[in-house]
Amino acid sequence: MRRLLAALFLLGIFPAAARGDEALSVSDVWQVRSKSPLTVDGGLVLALPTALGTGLSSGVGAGVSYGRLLAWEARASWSTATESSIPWTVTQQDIKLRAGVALQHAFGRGRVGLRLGLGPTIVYESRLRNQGTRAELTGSALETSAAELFAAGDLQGVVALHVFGPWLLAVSGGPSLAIGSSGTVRGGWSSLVGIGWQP
Amino acid sequence: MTRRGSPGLAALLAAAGCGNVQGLGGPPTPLVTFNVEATGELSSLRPPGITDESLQVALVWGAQWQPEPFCFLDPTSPDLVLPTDTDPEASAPAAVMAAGCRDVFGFVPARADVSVPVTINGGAVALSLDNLPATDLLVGDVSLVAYASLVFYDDQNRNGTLDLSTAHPTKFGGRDNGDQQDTPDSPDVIYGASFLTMTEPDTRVAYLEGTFDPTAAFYPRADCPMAKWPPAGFSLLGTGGFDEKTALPEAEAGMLPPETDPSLCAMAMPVATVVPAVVTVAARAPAEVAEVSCLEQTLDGSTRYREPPADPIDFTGRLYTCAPLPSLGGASQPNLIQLVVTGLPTDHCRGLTHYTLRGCREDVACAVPDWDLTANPPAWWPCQPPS
Repeated sequence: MRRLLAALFLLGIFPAAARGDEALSVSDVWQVRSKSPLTVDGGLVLALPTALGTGLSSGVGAGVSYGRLLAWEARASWSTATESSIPWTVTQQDIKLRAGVALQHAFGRGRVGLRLGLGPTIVYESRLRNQGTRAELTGSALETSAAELFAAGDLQGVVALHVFGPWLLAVSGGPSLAIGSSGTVRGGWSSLVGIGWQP
Repeated sequence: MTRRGSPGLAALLAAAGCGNVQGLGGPPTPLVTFNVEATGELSSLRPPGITDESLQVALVWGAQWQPEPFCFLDPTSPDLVLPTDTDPEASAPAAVMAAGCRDVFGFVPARADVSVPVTINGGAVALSLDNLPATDLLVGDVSLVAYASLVFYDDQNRNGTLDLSTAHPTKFGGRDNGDQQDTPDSPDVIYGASFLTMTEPDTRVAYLEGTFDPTAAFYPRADCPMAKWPPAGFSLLGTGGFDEKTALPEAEAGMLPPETDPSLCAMAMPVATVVPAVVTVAARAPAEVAEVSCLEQTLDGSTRYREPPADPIDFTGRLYTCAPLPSLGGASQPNLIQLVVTGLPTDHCRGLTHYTLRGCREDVACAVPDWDLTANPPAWWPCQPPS
């Protein structure tokens, strides 16, 4: 345990006030001190690419929520996926902006909830013609790019666990729906694994 | 769920020239497109019995092939004249060569690629390639090159593909006879090709990766003032061809024969993905150009010498001759005679079958033969050993 404490100390996770002369106790370290209705979280995003239809889009995301039982949320994420077919190698970047509400309840150190977010998803696509480089293609014959705006929504279950101090482990995931500018409707899923901070 | 989104952002994306994303869908854009036209008059060239036709132009990749030594020899050479007492029914080597050897400078196909319908004298059609030539079609190590001919043909079986044919070897004996396969000739009728032989003017499709190796002996062409070597990627090369009579001595001296008409040297490269030049393929008699659709059994230039079968070969309609083995660049076989048999006159492709009384499947000059019938040849064997 001393090694763990030493490691956490070196990582600067403990606030400066904890580095006093007083001896640290286990209960001090793991005590939950979150009282604010504000929560900020971020982490690794894994999702089905919005417009690619296959593969795994990975990236980062972050969000902020404010409230107790009913919380308002704003979230943003960026993720990318690359897949290939015989003629194409396609990379799509998904930029998701969401605003929504979360219904949540605390159980001891844990917190569960259901969040609904609505907002735009911008998909930026780069298509590389396979074999094009070998064939000496250049310009748009070799690579093209396009972007499309989707109106999208995510419904996610959220589980957060207070670990110590203001810090949480947060996991969320659920189905999503996106409607393209051409009217195409695409279903999918999205998830986030990360940490939260609730002062 | 209602349709949402930011109109301002959508307008911004539209103003940036952004369209809908396509993902992995959509048709592949061609890597290159050639414009080809077929010209001429078919009425006098059409084989008997052809009442309906489906004219097409196909891109056919070329094979690396070397003529078999027997066909490369001078038929008047004393080396080919056996001593006496050969079969009186046998033909002279020159006749067998004429009936069974393909043009030693001719284009040998390896694989037929895309094919598109064409109307004779109806203008150019676009022939697009969605894929590069396969690795086995590329010749070289650091520098990889492939050549193709644009073949004008009648797709008689309406399958949208140029079906290539092979010669029909006569039967042979030994363990190999179980592998012997024979496929019927393609019904497709060949009317022309942009690259038929190196001794005529040609327009060939070239594909190059790396820097061209001018010493490569793959359908070599003498330097042209306009285009010494094919550029990287796809291109069209035109050349005047060289004189067959001077080609062999020049080749033996390690040099490429000069172009007969340097003014025909030309090169065209794609603009974006389209080669703007139009390739014209003139219709000719099918008998003159059929060879451009004839595959070779072995592409390494090696002649396979076969074990004679126990049962007689049906020589009806075929020519055959008995001849010494040409020098194989190593061990000579002075006491070994080969029987060379042509195909039938009705065969789509010319070809020869070689038999020896002793040999191996891969090397006729092997030290330990797979078969040795020299002491007890088949009763029908027409060749007598040299006295």
